[in-house]
Amino acid sequence: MSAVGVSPARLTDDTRFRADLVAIVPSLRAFARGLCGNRDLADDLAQEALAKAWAARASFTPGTNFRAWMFRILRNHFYSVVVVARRFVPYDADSPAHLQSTPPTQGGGILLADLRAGLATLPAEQREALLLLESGLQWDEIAAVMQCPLGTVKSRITRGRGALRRYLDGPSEEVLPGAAPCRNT
Amino acid sequence: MSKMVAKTVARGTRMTKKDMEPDGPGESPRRLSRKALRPDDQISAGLRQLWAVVEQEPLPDEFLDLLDAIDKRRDEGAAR
Repeated sequence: MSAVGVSPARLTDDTRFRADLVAIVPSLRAFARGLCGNRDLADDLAQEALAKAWAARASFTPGTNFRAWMFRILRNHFYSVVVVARRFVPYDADSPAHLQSTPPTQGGGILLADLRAGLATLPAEQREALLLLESGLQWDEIAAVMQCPLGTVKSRITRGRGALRRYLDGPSEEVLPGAAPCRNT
Repeated sequence: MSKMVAKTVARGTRMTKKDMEPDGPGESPRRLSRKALRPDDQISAGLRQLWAVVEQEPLPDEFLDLLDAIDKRRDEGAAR
């Protein structure tokens, strides 16, 4: 650290950066919640991402996509710490939908609890791609966050949507060979 | 459902505000109408709503404490 302190320009940059951090906290929490499905763990992830971003603020290039930069920090932390340490818990007590033993949606529209439970069944890479797509990022920005080619992003989104659709549609109602016919008495 | 959630969910889809209203008395307002949306649209709208629900939650104190700590560090840097 310089003995002469922080320059006014740097202080202005820090103030602006801090304001950007504050503004993005709700989105960070939402992304983290979608990734890990656990409220407390998600908030831990988001706080770690904030702290890491502040520590690395000098490496952020003003004018580039701050949202994508923050999401990338958070997802990297998710994969490096949470998944590797096997602390990943798909769903917690405040979201009991994961306890259901049968797939949902017997008519009507999509319930958010069903969607959360369906997300929890996806591989993390597909879940991440679907979440980022709806976060407002562009395709190339998603690829940058996920650090993979654009084609991989599209593939993960297609497969993720398909898996979610199948989950939300529930089991097919085909009659199994040899099954006894249903009788109404 | 708040107007903000409805607006967020409707963003980028063909849904109208009316589509976000409950289909009838007693129905959950968090049920997305199937009438106006294709399956992929329903999933997109649902994911956007998941984002919106969390984004509207009040910030836990831990985040405010962290931001305060950042302020403190920044002020300390400025004082040097």
